[in-house]
Amino acid sequence: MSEITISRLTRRYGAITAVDGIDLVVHEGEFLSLLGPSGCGKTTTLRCIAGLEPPDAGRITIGGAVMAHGEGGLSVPPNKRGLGMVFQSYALWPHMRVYANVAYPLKVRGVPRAEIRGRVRDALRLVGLEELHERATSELSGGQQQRVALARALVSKPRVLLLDEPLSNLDSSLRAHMRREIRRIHREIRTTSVYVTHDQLEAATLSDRVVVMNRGRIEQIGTPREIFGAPANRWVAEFVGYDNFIEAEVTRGSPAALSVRPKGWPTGLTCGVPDRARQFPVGARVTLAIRGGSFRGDAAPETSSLKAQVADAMYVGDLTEYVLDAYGTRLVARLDERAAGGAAGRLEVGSAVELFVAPDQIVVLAA
Amino acid sequence: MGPRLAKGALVLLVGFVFIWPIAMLVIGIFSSTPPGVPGHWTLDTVTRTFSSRYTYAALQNSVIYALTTTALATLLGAIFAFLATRTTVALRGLITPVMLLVFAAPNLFYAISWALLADPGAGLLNVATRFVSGGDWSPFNAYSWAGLIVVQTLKLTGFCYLLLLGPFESMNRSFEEASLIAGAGRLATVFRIDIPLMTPALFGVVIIGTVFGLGAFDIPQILGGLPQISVLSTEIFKAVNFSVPPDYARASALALFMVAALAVLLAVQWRVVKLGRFVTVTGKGYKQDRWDIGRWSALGTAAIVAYALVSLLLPVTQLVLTAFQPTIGIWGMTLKNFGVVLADRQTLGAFRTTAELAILGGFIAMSLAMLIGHVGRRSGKWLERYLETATLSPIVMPGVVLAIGLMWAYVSIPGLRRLYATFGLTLIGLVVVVMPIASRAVRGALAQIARELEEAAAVSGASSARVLVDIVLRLSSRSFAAGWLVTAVIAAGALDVPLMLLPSTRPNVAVLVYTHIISGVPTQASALLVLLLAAIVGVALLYVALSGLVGLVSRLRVRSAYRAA
Repeated sequence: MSEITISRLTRRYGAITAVDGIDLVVHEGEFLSLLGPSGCGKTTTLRCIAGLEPPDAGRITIGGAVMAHGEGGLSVPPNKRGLGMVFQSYALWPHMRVYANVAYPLKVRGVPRAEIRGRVRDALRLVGLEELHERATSELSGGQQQRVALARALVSKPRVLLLDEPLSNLDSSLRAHMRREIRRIHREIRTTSVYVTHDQLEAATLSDRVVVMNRGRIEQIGTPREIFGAPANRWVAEFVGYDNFIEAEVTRGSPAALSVRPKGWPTGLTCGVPDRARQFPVGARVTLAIRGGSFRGDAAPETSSLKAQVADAMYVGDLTEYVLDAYGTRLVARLDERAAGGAAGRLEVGSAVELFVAPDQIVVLAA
Repeated sequence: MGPRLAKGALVLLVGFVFIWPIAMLVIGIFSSTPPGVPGHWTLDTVTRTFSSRYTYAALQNSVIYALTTTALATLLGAIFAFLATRTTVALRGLITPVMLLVFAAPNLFYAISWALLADPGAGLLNVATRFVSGGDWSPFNAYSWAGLIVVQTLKLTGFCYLLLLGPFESMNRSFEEASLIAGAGRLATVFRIDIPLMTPALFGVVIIGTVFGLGAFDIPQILGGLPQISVLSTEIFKAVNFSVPPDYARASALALFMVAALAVLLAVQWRVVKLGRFVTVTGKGYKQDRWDIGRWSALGTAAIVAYALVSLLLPVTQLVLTAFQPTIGIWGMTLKNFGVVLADRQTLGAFRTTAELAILGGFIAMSLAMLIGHVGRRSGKWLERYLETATLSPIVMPGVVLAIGLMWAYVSIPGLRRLYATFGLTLIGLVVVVMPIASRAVRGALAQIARELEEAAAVSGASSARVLVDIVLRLSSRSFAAGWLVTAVIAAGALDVPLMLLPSTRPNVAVLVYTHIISGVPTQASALLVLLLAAIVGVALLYVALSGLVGLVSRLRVRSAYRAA
């Protein structure tokens, strides 16, 4: 019994509304991410679930029991909620060793000492740190501190695990490793988890579902595939990395595909229609969202083609980013150099190029 | 007790301890009778006090005293802070330790040692002058305006220096570098960049110094008596102790006058510091590069030596010499004085009283400050501000003023009337006096504790009391101990509050020293003072040794505990 329901949750700081009436259900055993830029309200939402902030309005229940009720002035204190939490700064107590840090949640709950020892060992084993239990926390690396924080959050077998940007203080290679570790641990224990992040990759790789937040409101809720492949609106599309937004008009519709013609283009594009029922009649104005990486240099079945001039080329490591002029529209495309230039080799600035894009790579949004 | 109720109780307690005495001062001046005696409302006191020429003479003296000593002390403090932080002058490492000692040494020590040092007959300074000049020229006399100002300046310099050290250290070098690159010379940079940048900090120090100068009691009381130089604080003392019957209303009026003046000064200072804080302190680490001041280096070193000499070495030497002299001015070594003071039954009691006042007072002040700081941090803006202002309010209540306020405050409440002239009331008085320092120490320590450390404990299942004990207290225990030491040392050396509040049958050491000086036995006063200072130094050394030992033991114990586990 650990389902979290949030209804009309609102939290204000003076004149600023950090969380603006959101509704959300986190299912039992689910790993849910709150994704959004800083200031979007994701951390505030998490802190309201934790009981570290009282909501101004709305209700939060965990496992059916009301934890907070803004209008009623009720907020069960965090120590009475039975949670585990990993903080952005890890918040390991510097006056306690690793063992004592992990043992603390059991100690304050009055668990017998003999049992504590076994459970701390189990928790440290789960995060792969059994050997380091007598270290001072200052003697640990960032990644190790992160694991201790995770062990401490899990040792009391909480109903809900809350994670507040736990990986943001790690360097990129360690972050990738810890991402896999968190995924592994969640698979193992299946604790209902809420994970706050501004990193799309973390949200995509870890979550069963992602909640995209902006300005205190929820923009979209869905599986990572839905969020990244079919963003609900332009803001989400931009946030998850779509770089090209093209205004267009629907010219022909069928159950399987939609033909559109961007403004000022002599040629049209074919888009796949997402299975989420979204009907655009012929003549409707739409915005097309296309990732720079969705363009390709060679044709394939059902791809649309477009012709463009290279305005700028920038080498960005494994790919080259081209700024293109397609019939007066500026486009950004990221391509493998050889694939783009074909036999001719690299594309020079000023040269003409023909690019192709698959129907399922074009997202149709309301204009 | 629910958390809300506990918070309410704390708010009331803080209000009673810190605000009520000030409020009672106001009420006191309109009362026709002493504290605790029913009377009627009257304006007599106000008109009497503010039409008396003694009031204005004292006020004038206070202002002269406070302004000259502050100006001199700030100048000296700034010079030494500059030498310590920005130059390569030899012995610069000595400045901070010397200043800390000066700051920690009781006012009583300065008053008495300098009274002896510049004694026209037997003082070391005059003896040396006579020896060098070969005549009977004795130019030094501490019982004079010059004496008052020099002694207060020496003492105040330590405080001003410590206040200026931070701003000087954190002065952003890039401002200076930009000036140098723009073509200004070193000296031009000092005058056009450094001094303007430091102006807010200097101004703040001037204000705080003036506040302390206006409130000073021990030094003017001891040195100003003979030449009949009275200042506000000694007038207040006189109104209560030398008038028959004690003129509490006049004392209150003078006290309130002082509180108002100090409050205005502090309000000005807060505005300035608020504006100035962001000017010089960037909080960013940068390389501190020191300036070789060339020919001036020797002068700087000489200034350091001279200051150490007159502020510490000479007074201590004189005090110790006198303590061992059979009679003042008679050269010779004897333990007679120590024998006499130790044989006195009152002495042992006085040491016990001083120890109890210092240790208990320091502990209570630090505990209260910790509780207030912790609650303040977790409260709304207004409550936090109220608690902070209340704990800083004793700054506007110098010892004598506070003593009058406390008499009114406690005697006016039937159940608490029994506290009048007791150890208990003196203890409360000292707790209030050291509170600003205690809360400063606590605030620094609490600011170091990241909020998440407390939140992590709460989420782990710890109640808020448990969070305070397991996390906050444990993490600030070292600061707590250090603050306890500092507040205890201040309480141990304080003369004003005990002199006015302790029962005359139960003096503490400072009061006893004062009594000996007043009754003309400086040798015994010196012996007692030497014993007091030795005890304070002993406790400080014990603290250093213990804190080292605690660190070592806890490291060893933790290791072995984990081995066993």
